[in-house]
Amino acid sequence: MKKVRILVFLSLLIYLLNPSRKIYEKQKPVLAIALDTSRSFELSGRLKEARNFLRKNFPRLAEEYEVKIYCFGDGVQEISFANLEKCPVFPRTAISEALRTIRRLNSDNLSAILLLSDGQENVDTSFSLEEVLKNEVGVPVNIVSFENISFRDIAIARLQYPETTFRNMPARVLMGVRINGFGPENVQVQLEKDDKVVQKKVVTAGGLKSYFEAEFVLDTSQTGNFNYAVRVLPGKGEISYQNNYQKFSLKVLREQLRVLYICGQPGYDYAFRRLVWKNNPGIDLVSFVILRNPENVTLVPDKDLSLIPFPAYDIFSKDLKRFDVLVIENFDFARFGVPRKHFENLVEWVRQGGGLLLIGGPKAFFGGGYNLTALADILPVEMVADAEQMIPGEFSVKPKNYNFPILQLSPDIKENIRIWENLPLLDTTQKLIPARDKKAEILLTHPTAVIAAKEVVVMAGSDFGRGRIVVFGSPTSFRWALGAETPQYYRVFWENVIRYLSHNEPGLVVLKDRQQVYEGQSVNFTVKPLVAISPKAKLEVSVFQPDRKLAMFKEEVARKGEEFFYQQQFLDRGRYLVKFILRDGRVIAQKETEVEVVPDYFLEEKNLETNSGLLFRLANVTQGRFYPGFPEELKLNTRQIKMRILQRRSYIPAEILFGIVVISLLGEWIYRRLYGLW
Amino acid sequence: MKKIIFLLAVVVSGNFSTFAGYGNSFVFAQVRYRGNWDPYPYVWKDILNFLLTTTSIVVYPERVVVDLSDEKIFSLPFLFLLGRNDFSGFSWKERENLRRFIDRGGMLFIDDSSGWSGSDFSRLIQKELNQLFPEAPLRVIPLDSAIFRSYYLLRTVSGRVLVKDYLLGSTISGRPAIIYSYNDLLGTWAKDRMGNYLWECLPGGEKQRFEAQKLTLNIIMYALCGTYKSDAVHQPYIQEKLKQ
Repeated sequence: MKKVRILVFLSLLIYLLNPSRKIYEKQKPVLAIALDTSRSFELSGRLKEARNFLRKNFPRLAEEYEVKIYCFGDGVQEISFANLEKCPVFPRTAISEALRTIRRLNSDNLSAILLLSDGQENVDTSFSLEEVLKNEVGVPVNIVSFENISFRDIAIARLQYPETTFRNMPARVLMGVRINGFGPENVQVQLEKDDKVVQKKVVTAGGLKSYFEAEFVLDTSQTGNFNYAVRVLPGKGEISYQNNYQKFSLKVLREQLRVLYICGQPGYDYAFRRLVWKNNPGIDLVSFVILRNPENVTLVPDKDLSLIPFPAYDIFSKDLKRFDVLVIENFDFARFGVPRKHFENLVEWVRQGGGLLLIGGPKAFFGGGYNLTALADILPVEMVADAEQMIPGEFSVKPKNYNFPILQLSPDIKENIRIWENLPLLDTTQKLIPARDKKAEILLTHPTAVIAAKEVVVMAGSDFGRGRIVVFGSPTSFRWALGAETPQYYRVFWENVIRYLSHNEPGLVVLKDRQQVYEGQSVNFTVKPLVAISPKAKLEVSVFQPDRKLAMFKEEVARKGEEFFYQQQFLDRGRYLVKFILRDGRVIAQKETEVEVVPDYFLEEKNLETNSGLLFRLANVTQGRFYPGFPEELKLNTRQIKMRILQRRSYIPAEILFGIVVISLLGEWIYRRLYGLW
Repeated sequence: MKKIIFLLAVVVSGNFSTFAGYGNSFVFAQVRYRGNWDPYPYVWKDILNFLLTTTSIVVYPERVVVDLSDEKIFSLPFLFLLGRNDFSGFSWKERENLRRFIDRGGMLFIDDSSGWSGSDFSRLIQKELNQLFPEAPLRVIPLDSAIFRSYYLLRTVSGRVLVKDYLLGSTISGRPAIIYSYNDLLGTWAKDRMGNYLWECLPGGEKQRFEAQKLTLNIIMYALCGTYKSDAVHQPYIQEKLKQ
């Protein structure tokens, strides 16, 4: 019995181990040819050359390999050698995705890839081509790039420009131009601003293939967003004009707001307001205070005084345009030799974008003779002709429009009203009434004083041309600092005034991660508010199509801290409008930005050169060979293909082992029955 | 002579305030407290006259006396506080108000009229200030401060007696909000009923007096203009004049 048991056990063991022998079959290695049929490869004539190359080498390669041909661009399609001329032309190039696909389609017996491409990949991917080749392809990639093909093309190969700069800071744009297929000749390059040529240069470029650079200096005398383009005039018979120009934008920011403050006499109001603006790092304050009138007696020689001459002429003529905001407080201009004619310069300066603030006092407005100047026609108030210019007594102001930017001391509506209601009383204000027939915003009035049946205006604002004017009639706003439980609103108020006058209202900064957008690409927007916001603040976004129909609306975009993030894909070409609105119950700020989406064939035609550097690195990483030109003799690096296991044969068939086990067990059973061993 | 000049200035410039409140005029506001708060009851007139004669400052024609506990101080951005020997400290309300006054932009000028550095007034008031403003102790104001250039170019510190050759100041929010003088500055203005100066200035005599009066004006001008004379546009002129 023991021997039977051992036999059964051995049979089972042999069955489990299954000693067997493998029968191998040698298989023909596969060579996958990845043929770039994107627009850039075709346009440059390289595709034609690649077809010639394949016709020459295919018979020899087919003897040694099982050759499979794949056309690729931003897709992959297998074709037969007979249909080489019928490859589809793809609008874009995705080399890495093509190689991954080809690898997946050919599993174990792929020995090498032969890549025929210019290396200009232009599809966004989240991985790098080198990573794909190293980790996923796993076979040598041999590359031929047909670099030496000649074609006629002049292209902007490089463009370097600042996206933002500060006013009056030097800014330059550098363009690199590559010339293919033209002999030595004059090439004209030009800088365009808002589609008008502003600068031109002519360069003599030599040789059949050459590269030169040209630089233009950009005008930064004005702030704002400006659309530029650089263009190189096309040569005769060029294969592509799409790469002859490139657009870019330049944003010119204020370095600091330049504020000129002229005060007719020393006073607490000047001291407090000056401190607010001086402590603001965004404001460059230049002030002149008349410390001494002509009739004052100092009893010391001039060298013992810190007084400087008041440059009245310079300020009101040539220096004025250096400033963004002019503040005139209680200044008797006639006593300091400022002719009335200078006020015409001042009016023109406001029209061209300057911000003017007039502050009341006995020598301001009618009291200073301003009614006889050109300013009288543009002020948002009417000056009352009265020898007694000031209305005496303390009073609380009456806001007329809490939503006006200057009066928004808090982003919360109810809090804003509460702040205004609790501000300390002012003391005296100028006799000013609303101007007739003028579009002005009356902001603050006296609660009770009335002149000619009109409320006395304490504060008013208006636009004039591209500029703005604000008048503030009381010379005692310092009380809003000294007398207030929360004196910071005094600072907020006067900063709001400067911001309003300089068109620098609380806004949003919108940053885009790409300036040139092609069909199908996504743009990542980062939006930063220029004011402090509460945790409840939300940013909504609306995207309008080129025909200005609403394409997308999102009520709340992602927020991290004080910044908001949004991504939008643009499928079709055209000029889109993206509008951001920041809300915290009400609208705090908003900003629009345009996104121009260009056809994706622009991508292919933009650069017709080969990316030899990349292709060389790729061949190296995969241990393939790299041929920059048309190889005379093609040799490939390949991977050793393992023989395929055709069959496994067991030394002892399983059926026999099974039979041994069954017979053994049956025999034992019979034996036990016969001899009664249960 | 000075009175004639003053009258002429009034007639020509009309600088007297013509409105009911203080408006934006400079107000000679003096703090009243428990102690000898008013050693020189009439100097304010001469100081205002001097301002009118010499500068374009518009003045309120009367002295305003105010207690620190009075909410009225919040409409008077500059306060004089004079003392001689005794000082019994501020009440809780006075301290509260003074702290808020300074924090909101007010300025306090303290003039020790005792004429010596060890006076009880000097010791006690400085102790009071250090407790109120521990983050801004009284420190020497350098001679290149805007205070010494706000109107006259001053190269020294003066007063009735030259106890110290410096002023002390507490800097709060970037500005000297409290100025302290050991040298009895306002004592140089005090006159008898005949109009003669009451006190001799030691050791420099009348020249020292005039320097002290100029310093008084500078301090007032500084209160009304801030660090205006530290602006870059003034520096070339000031440096040139200082060299002369």
